[in-house]
Amino acid sequence: MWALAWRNIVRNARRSLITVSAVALGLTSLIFLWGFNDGVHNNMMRNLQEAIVGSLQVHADKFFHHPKLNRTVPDPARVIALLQQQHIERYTSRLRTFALAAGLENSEGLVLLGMDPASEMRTTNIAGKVDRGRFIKSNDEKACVLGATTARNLGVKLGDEVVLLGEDHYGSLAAEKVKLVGIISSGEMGIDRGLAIVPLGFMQRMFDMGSDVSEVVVQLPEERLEAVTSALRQQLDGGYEVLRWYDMYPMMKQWVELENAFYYIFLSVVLVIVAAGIMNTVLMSMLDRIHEFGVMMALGCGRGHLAGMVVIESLLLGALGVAVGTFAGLMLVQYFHGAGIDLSGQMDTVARYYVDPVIHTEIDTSHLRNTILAVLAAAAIAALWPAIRAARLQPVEAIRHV
Amino acid sequence: MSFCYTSRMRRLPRIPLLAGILLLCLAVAAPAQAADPDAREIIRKVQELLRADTGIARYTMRIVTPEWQREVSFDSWDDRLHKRFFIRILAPVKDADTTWLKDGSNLWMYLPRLERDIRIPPSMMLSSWMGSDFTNDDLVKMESVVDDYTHRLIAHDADSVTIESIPKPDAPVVWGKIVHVVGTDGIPRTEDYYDERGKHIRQLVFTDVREMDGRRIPSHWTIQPSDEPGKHTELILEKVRFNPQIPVSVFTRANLRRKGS
Amino acid sequence: MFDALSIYLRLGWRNLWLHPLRTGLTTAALAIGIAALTFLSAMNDGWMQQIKTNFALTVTGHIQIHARGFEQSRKLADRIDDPAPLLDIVRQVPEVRLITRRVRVSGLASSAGASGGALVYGVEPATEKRMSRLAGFVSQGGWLEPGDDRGVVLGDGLADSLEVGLGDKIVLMATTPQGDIASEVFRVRGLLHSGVMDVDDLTAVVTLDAAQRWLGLGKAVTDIVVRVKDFNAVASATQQIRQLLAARATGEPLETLSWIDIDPMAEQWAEFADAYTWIILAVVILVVLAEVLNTMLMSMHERVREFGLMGALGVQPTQVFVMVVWETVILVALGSGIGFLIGGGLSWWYGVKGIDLTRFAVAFSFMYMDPVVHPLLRTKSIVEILGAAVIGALVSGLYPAWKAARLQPAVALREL
Repeated sequence: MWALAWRNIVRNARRSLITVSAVALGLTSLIFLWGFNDGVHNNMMRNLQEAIVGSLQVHADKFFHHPKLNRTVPDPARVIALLQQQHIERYTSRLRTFALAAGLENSEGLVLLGMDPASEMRTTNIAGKVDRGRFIKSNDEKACVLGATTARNLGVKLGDEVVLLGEDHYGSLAAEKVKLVGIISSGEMGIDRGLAIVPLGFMQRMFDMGSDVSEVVVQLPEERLEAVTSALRQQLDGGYEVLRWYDMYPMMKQWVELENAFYYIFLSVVLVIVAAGIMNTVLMSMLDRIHEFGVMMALGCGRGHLAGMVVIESLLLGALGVAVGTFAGLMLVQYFHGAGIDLSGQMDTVARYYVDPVIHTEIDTSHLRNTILAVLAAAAIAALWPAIRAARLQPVEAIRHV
Repeated sequence: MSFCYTSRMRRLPRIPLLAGILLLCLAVAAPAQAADPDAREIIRKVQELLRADTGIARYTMRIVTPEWQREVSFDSWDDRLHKRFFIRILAPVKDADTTWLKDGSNLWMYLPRLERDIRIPPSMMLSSWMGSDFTNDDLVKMESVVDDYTHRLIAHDADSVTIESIPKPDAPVVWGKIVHVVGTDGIPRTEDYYDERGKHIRQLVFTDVREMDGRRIPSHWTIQPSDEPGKHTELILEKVRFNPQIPVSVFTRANLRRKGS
Repeated sequence: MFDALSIYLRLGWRNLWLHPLRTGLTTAALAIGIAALTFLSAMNDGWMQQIKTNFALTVTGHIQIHARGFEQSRKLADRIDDPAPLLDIVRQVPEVRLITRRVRVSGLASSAGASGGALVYGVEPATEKRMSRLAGFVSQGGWLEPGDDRGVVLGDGLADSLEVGLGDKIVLMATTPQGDIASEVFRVRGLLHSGVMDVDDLTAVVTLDAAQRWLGLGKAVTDIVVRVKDFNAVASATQQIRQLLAARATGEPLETLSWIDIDPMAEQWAEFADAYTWIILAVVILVVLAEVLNTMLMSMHERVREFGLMGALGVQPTQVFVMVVWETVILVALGSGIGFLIGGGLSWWYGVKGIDLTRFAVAFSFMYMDPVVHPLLRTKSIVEILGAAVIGALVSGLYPAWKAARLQPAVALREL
């Protein structure tokens, strides 16, 4: 029966081709769409982490919601030793406090971040966001990098002096004059406004903090995030908090989840079109063959046999279509993963902060699996009805069918 | 639309703002009716003892925590009628001659080491200051303590009376109850602050009664928050002149850069 | 000409019904494709609307009117002293659906144990509830009742740092326009949680009357917030309001800003999301067209013998071509008609009911973004998408017709 079904498929090459192409085209587009969707989303999430947040941060307990200068990481050396044990190389330490930054006439309250330039550049891409001037160079220079909005509000230009004013470890006045060496205009309000970056060593001295830090920022590949988080949580009991990027800034993750939910619905509708197409092609080819079926039945071929043959034929065609479609879809995803889809015409500054203008497709395994299974199921269901029809044919009428 | 980094950013930074302390010391009273005329009268007299329209004073503030302690000395010129004040730090040496000027809604600060004066945004005038245990509430709200509360005498012995003050429903105060202990000589001894659930929040202790510019007043004040044992703030009044004439030139930006004598 | 037309029409119609199953299948393919496209386009428009609503109507509103300079300075000094005549003017604009007034000021919130910076909104509780999503975010207790001048609704993050809960007392302090520090006592009536830290850690909402009395503002407000018919009406309504306000004889200079002016990034982000879904929609159109072409080719393949017979009987190739084209026209008209009815019906039904996306997503709390999509049938998108699909289907019908016309009768008849 398999051999017979296969012979039928080969003999009607043209018809088979149309059916296979219907399945393949549908699946290819679905895979490509998921590839596009996942590519954008992964890019967004990665950019968020790479920009400044990191994948994971370790703080003193409750620091994130109640940040205070004195709430420092209890034992940063231990945290770093744990990271090194796990062979993690991209990590950096920062000090954070609130301060007042003043230009000649204006001043503004902001968050002051002390960063170690060498390890910061290994860990995040914040240095790359400086579009005028440069990032801080040494760990000790009296220099700062400001967001463009803050720099404008303070009325300062590159090379100008900025006064930073805050409260040190012992609650007394900490004030320093620093040189504005770089300006960031990222398009992200939270960075362009209300943020000043100074060298970590300088800031520790200014605020009398010794070698204390507020946060250890870790950059991890997606697949290691959960494992490393739970390992750190287990080893750093009491006195620490270990937060993933989406524990701290859940908006982006929510957005992605919501958009994925939207595309599940969207693409299920597309799946209906694809399934209808498959069903249509199979049914059409059935119509085409009513005469042939009649002859076969007249020659003594049983109904069950006939129905089985039709099902096997459809399944073979479906499987072939899925194989071709998966291959073509993955090739397409692979191709655009390398080449990228250029959307720069559609994107302005903000979007560019979150999403690179050139989209590199990639596909989430679960999305790929679900799509393939759904199309296979559609092909199988599409095969049933023709089989039932074939089984109910009257040989005489069938032969007469033009 | 911003997904991430904006939050946590717009909190008010804590800027060392010494100014409010003066208001605490030189609180204003005003007449009003109350439930217990005797109790109210005692509180009114306490306020009157400490009040003045203008004042020139020298203070030392000492902040004590289990890990460290710190002292700041400063001179202040306060003109309540015109809503302005001027402060000059005397010690520690590294902050000496740092000055503040508030005039109406403007607040300036001068940093001698950086030779820069800075205008502090109005929104920051309200922010909490230094590591002290004085709250912002102390800044503005002590002045109407007589009117904002209903006062009741709850105990007395040979040399002191105890008065419970419950805020009126619409009074803009955070407390649920204040318990004053005042000596029979009219000099305050302690004040205990509670929230509305009856939880003790902090205690203010007055000691070291001295004769200053013609008034017998406690010159040493200690604030002890109840949830942070081992931490307290002391304010010591070194010298004071009540209702002096203050030259207008004190409240000018030029005065910010002048060195102290 | 008319005769010929009606003959072809009738012939095509009869031909189609000679093979009801085949016709049914082709029509169904078309109908499903068109229905899906209609529905998807409606979903897309609903989604875009939704994104904009999430951005604009969470707090901002469609249009805001301030005293000139307030957006930049955020100082009470830049305020609207008497909003009443302005409200009358704004009401003249036909697109305006809702107007509310606000006082916005940053200040300090204190409880007995702690204090923290706050962004205070003085609002009209009843209209604010319909204007923004603030009331919808209330997660504990309730929204302010009109006239509750001692009530405050706090962001849960702010309440947390003040260590207060429902019924507790807080004092709000802010600088008045005269430079004095004014304070007022409020009781916590509700806590709101939006999922956005900026909102949750800073927001304190009191009634407009309370804010005006506390800050000594009289009738003055900082914002007049306007909601118009829909997002498409924002630009023209903003323009009209600007003109009407500029024509005023007296009063302070004003600024009229649309949500896009206030948060240009939101608009850019929405534009990106729009481009993004359009790419997806374009691929879907391709899929639909391919399926239609497929069905047409199949049915054509099946009819090769029939065309051969016609050719053998002396029917001219052009006549066969025109006949097949007309058949296609009828098919497409029928299919897209049915498809549009189904797709439109579905869109309308879900437009009313809404599609709750949380059921399709992993357990996650969508606070800032309302997860219910209401598909929206917009004439512009329908015309664009249906036009593309119908023209595509007709074109894909031409190829079989052209092939049919070129068939050699002898070859055709030999095919089984």
